[in-house]
Amino acid sequence: MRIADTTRMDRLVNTTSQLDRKIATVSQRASSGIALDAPSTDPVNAAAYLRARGNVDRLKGYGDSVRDARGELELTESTLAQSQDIIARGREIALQAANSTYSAQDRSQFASELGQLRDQLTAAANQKGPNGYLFGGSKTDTAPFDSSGNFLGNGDARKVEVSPGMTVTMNGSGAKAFTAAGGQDVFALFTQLQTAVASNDANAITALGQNLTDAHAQVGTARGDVGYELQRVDVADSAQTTMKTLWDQRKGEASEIDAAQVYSQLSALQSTLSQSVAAARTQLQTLSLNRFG
Amino acid sequence: MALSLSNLLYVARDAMATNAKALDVTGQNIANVNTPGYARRRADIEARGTSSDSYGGVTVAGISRAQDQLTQKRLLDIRGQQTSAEERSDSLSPVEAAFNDANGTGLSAGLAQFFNAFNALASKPTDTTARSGVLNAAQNVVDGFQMATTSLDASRADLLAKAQGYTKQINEAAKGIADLNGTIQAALGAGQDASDLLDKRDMLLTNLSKVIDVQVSTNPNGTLLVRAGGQSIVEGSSSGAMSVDLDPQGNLAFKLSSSGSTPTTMAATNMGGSLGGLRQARDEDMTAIRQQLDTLASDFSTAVNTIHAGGFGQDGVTGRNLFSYNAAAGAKSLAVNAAMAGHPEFVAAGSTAVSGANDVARQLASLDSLKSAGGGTKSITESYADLVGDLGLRRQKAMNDADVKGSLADQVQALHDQTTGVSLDEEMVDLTRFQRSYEASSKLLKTFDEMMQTLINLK
Repeated sequence: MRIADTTRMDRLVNTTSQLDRKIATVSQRASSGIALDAPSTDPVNAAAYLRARGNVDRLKGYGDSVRDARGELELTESTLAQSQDIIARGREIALQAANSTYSAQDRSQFASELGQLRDQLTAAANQKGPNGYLFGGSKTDTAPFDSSGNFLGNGDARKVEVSPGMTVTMNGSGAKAFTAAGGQDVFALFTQLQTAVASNDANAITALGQNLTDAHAQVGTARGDVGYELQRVDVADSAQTTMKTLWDQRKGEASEIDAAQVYSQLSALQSTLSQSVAAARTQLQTLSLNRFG
Repeated sequence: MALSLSNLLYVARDAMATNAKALDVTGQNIANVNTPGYARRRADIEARGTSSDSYGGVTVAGISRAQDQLTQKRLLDIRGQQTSAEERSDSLSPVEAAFNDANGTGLSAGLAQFFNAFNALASKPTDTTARSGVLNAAQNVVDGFQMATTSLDASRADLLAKAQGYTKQINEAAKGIADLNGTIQAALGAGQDASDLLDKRDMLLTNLSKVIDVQVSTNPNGTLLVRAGGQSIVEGSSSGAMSVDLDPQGNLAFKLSSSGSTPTTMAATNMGGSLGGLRQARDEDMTAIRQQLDTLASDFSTAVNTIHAGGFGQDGVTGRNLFSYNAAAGAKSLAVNAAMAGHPEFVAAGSTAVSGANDVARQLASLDSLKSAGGGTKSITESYADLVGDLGLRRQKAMNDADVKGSLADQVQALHDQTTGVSLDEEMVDLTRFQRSYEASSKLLKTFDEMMQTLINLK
């Protein structure tokens, strides 16, 4: 077989330039740490990367929702706890006032305190959070209870998605916690108790004290609902951490280099290039003109 | 033939002339070892027979030019396929850069931000910042679509200009081949050596085949008939003028004009070479990607608008679309509804006019987990990932084809050079061989001279 000199030279140039190109590509990957420098590098992984990246980016949004829901639910939970304390104090007063040894002045003081407790309860039920009133359902721009204790909100649950496919209710129900819809109209109980204490109606005081016990449990139930939602937020948060790790891992697998593999590839290519250059040098030294010199 | 001492003189003279000519040819080969398109020459040395009217000896019957028409044809084909794949890959490169989400471009981040913005709005439906965040995110998605479509449109416009440049190259090469056809026909007719002209014509043909797929046939008179795109672009000493423009669909349309005749349409799908690769990238790959992008924009805006229009803004108004989209104009027309711009209070968060209602925002936030694209087969993000994957596959195929065809072309080139290329080893042997023969011939002349001296000195 004849070997033309152009063939010999072309092969030297082609081999060296091909190796140079490969080394440049692998070096770029080694220095950037990114294997997926363009979709055409690995189209299947490029699509997988985008799906993984989409999920990771979306999880950031869910993380914000978790933070917001947790903040609002914790505020709701603490407000309901505060409401329970108020009701508990009302019940204590009812127990004390049921005892006929108290003087008219004492009962007047009890009645006055009950009025204050009722006001505190109204303030708690009209507590505002970062997104408006906590207990008005979706009517977040209007105080859910007027001064007479009438409920002006609605029973809507304000839900938010905290994880793919998982929604939590981020508000407590004002109706169920404080009105007859939950069993006891808490504000009416305080008003009635205040009247009964002022008039020293022991039977009524005792009955209302019992009703306050029910009201305490009623608010406790609402608080439990909120606590349950908080637990679900924690579950979502934990699931997100796991999912983020998983998707980050998949994103990395799809786009980042396997350092050991890349460096070994780079080393092998550099070694091949050295051999190729040595072979080229030998060929150039043994060119016909030199041989026949 | 009567034996004559003077015959020896002629034999020696012709032997010296023949070897000198052979040395000259060897010198030409050595000098042109690196000349592109040069085919090695051989001095066709033949013995002159002895007869009553011939004293014998040796002569150069002619100079032959090495050629291998079979491998040359294969080389023209395979180089055309290589340049076609390279051009397709190069043309897709800037488009791919616009969809390189791993390097920070592309739509994926914008889409995720958009859905997250509705998540934030679901958490804070009365918050003006969250509402503005939705509008900003919507504009980012629009910008992403605009960047992608602009990149595609700009690339297609650039490729039209490049195709026009290629047709100029084709026309110049075709004219050069036609001119050389005439010159070669005349030289061969006059019995002259046309090797240099044939080298030049083959070189032009090689260059032409890289730009467009050509079918070549040789006429008995030495001229070439060159066909491309189903038309004859060179016939004898005349050539056609190729032009490219856009058809009503915006695709490349090729025509061939010959003097005095109506331009004829060339088969666009049969171009081959760089022009064929360019056409494939522009009118097949980019068109397909653009259609997918249009479909994605349509699916996205339809899905978002359907939900959003069912909700209420803070002003209590319902029925507003978040995006405007013109199906005829495609993804480029996607925009944030002009009536919404600058009015975050118009963003719908709930399906009732109640302040804290957030069910619409929640639905829009979770839209990405629904099969709302591709005819209900995939999500918006999946649809976009498939688009990018498809683009990557198309370019990867072009790159792989270019590598494979390049290796094949190198092999065929080596085969072709086996026959037509210059080997310095061979030429150095020839140099020595003909030099020695020349020396021997001169010795013959000297011998004749000594014999003549002997003869003269007989008296």
